[in-house]
Amino acid sequence: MANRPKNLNLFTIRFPFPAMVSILHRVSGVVLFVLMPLLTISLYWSLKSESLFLGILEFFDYTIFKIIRTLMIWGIIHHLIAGTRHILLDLHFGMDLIVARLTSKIVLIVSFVISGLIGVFLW
Amino acid sequence: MVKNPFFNLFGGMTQWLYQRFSAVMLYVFTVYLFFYWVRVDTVDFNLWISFFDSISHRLIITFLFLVTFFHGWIGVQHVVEDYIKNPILNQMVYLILLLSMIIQIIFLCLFLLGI
Repeated sequence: MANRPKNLNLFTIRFPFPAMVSILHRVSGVVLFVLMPLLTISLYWSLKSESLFLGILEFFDYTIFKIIRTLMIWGIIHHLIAGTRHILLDLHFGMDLIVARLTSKIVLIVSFVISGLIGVFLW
Repeated sequence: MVKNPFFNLFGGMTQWLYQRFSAVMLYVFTVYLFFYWVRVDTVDFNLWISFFDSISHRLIITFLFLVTFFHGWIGVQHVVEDYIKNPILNQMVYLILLLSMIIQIIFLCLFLLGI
């Protein structure tokens, strides 16, 4: 068991749609975890005074932070929708290969569309 | 395989279960907060501060962040374990993520106490 060959090299693996949903679930999770300090610390400082509050709003208006903001929105939405699919699979819903492939496409498209809409709306 | 030296929370089965429980909790909170704030036209400072004035809202938000750390720590452990094979780099990443969580938890305590 211990010496079983493993291949986790992302550049040599071909990705079917369910695999893409799965890897993007991980990616979005890591992105959110790494960017959490931005949320925690700006939450804390935004309540200190009105000028700090406005300063933080201004800070999030820089193009780079607009991109980060949109990335986080995509992360949350993809993580939520892919997570719902994951829990449904755990409960044995949508286990057929055809259904699983279909739902994985739906997850990818819906999360991109919703986060795109929110991203454009908030830009 | 490099084991996480900091906290290796529970066994695999428990992690699996807790990960799903915390996921459902976060789901409910996120949807609630989304629908709470989406109705608001413009968020100004007074509205923002009045939302966090009530201790129950501050408690909910703090709890939400703590559950997020719990869920995120389990998740990120698995990702780091899978992709970072170099033992030194691996432990450094754990240490950085752990420190980041500790600092954030200090900020959260200050937030909860309203300091």
